[in-house]
Amino acid sequence: MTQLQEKRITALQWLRIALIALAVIAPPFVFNGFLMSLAISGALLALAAMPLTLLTGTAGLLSLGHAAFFGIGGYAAGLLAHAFGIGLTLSILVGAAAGLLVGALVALATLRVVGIYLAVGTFALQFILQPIMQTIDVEVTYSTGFLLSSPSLLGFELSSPARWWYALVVLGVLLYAWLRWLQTSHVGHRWVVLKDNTTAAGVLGISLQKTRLGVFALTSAVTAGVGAISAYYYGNAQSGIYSLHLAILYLTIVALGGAGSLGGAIIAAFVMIALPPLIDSIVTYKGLVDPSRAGGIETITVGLILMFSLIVRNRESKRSSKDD
Amino acid sequence: MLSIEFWVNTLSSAGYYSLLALAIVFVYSTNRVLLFCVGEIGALAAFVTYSAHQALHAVELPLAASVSVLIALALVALIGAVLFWVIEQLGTNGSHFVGTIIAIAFALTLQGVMNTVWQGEIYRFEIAPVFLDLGESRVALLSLVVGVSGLALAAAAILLLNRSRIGYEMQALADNRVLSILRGIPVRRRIIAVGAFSGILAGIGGILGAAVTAISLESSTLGVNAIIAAIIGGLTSPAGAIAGAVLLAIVENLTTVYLDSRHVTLMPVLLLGVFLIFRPYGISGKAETVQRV
Repeated sequence: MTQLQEKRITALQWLRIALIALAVIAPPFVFNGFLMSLAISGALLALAAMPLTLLTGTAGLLSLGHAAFFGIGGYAAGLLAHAFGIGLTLSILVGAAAGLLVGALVALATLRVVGIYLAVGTFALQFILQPIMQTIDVEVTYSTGFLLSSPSLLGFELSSPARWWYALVVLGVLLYAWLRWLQTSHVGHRWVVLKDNTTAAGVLGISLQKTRLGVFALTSAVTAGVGAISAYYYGNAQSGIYSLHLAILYLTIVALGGAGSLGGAIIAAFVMIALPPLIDSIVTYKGLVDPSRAGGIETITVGLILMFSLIVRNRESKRSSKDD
Repeated sequence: MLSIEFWVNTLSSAGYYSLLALAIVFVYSTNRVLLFCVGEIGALAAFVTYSAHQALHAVELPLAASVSVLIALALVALIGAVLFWVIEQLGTNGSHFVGTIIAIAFALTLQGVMNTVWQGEIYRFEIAPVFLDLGESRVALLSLVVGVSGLALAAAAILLLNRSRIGYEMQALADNRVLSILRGIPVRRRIIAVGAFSGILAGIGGILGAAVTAISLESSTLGVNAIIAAIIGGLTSPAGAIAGAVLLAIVENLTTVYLDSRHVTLMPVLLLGVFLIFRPYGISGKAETVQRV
């Protein structure tokens, strides 16, 4: 590699850093209220998508219960605030602990067998938690869901969209760094070996059950923690939010971002959050389509994106394995 | 003491769950993909049957009901074939996880289509209610017909699988793809045929289910119970799918009789949880398909 090429790569890297810095710092200064709320929603989606891409992409374990774990965090925050007046910081920790516990139980019940059964177990969890949440909604909150307000994180008041944005960016950077470190450490290598070749993993002395239990419980805990934060941002935790549709949206983000790619998951989260208003404005442009049909077209688009991103990613992975 | 109405309702649920569960088992046996879109395929068949019947009835076409069912089944057969074609495109590198997520993507797309076209409306097939007096009980003839025809069609599908040449070839394909290719079986054509056949089974199940309930977006949730029935029965056992459907129908109807109706959706999932913990390979017990780690 020549000195000029080295310099060019460095310049490109600097350009990328500058663009990321701009994307991080600029939104509160240039976005209006609507765009700012989209950006914050995208950041929350990205925070929760990162653990799923680690679980599905890196460790090769399919979960259909991501929305359920997200809901566990939200409901933990709601119950703590309602019963004890406990705020956001402690709610994140308790929510994460609850997610860890439920995740470990689901994993213990389903990881004895390989194949599609973990997906089925998490799918069952989604349908078990939904009526429980509905019952809590009716019995405890008179169907309004938990209303949450005035959050502060480690003493930092989250009193404006700009403050929320910068707090989520910091959390995102920390989470990204931690999960990336896990991916590249010996722990992450174990997950990859388990995903690619269980026999080789057994020969290397890697405990399949313990390792899978570990990654599933860990990602469940992180997801639930993000669920608590999200409930505080939206000011509400209600059963209708944590549906199977949300779980599928997360899978779409992971598929679009690329298996195991944390950066890809972040970008895909922002793409998916921008999609509904974009589709809405396209299909309703000059009365092209009845606005009441926009929701259906949005669902079709998400379904097609999920399908095509899987096919394209699969082709890419085939091509790269051929090159190897 | 459970009434005759209870058993007729159970028979009716078992009828359409059997067909939906059988579609799931056929697909899983062939390419290890869990057909998450089975409920959506069934709901779409019901919607199309209803709309086609309305249109054909308006132009006074004879046999409008039969023709509309055939149109709906042709459409869902095509959808099943396309789904399998897409999964085939993934090639040997595509894992069953990817195939299953493709099925989820199909479910989402079909939901979107139904939402766009029928916009969350609820319809009912125009079938005149006929009741039979059996001793002290009064049962709906429709429920009886749905139950008997559903179970009979499911049994006929299994017979077709076990007695016809195409059925043998499909089984051979499910057991060993490489050997099937060497034996000269047209693998790709057979796989797409399984997709179309499963689509038809799901479509009939959906139409029968809608006949005794309603035609709505929510009717796609029948697919969730069908998945549970298929897992309970054993994902690779067609006869197990029927057994799972019957067990699920009993649990579901017992819940409505003895517990709060809000628990109707919860009890099947709890039953699934019990099976996942104690007998993940289902009633049929084909443990060789499940690798313990």
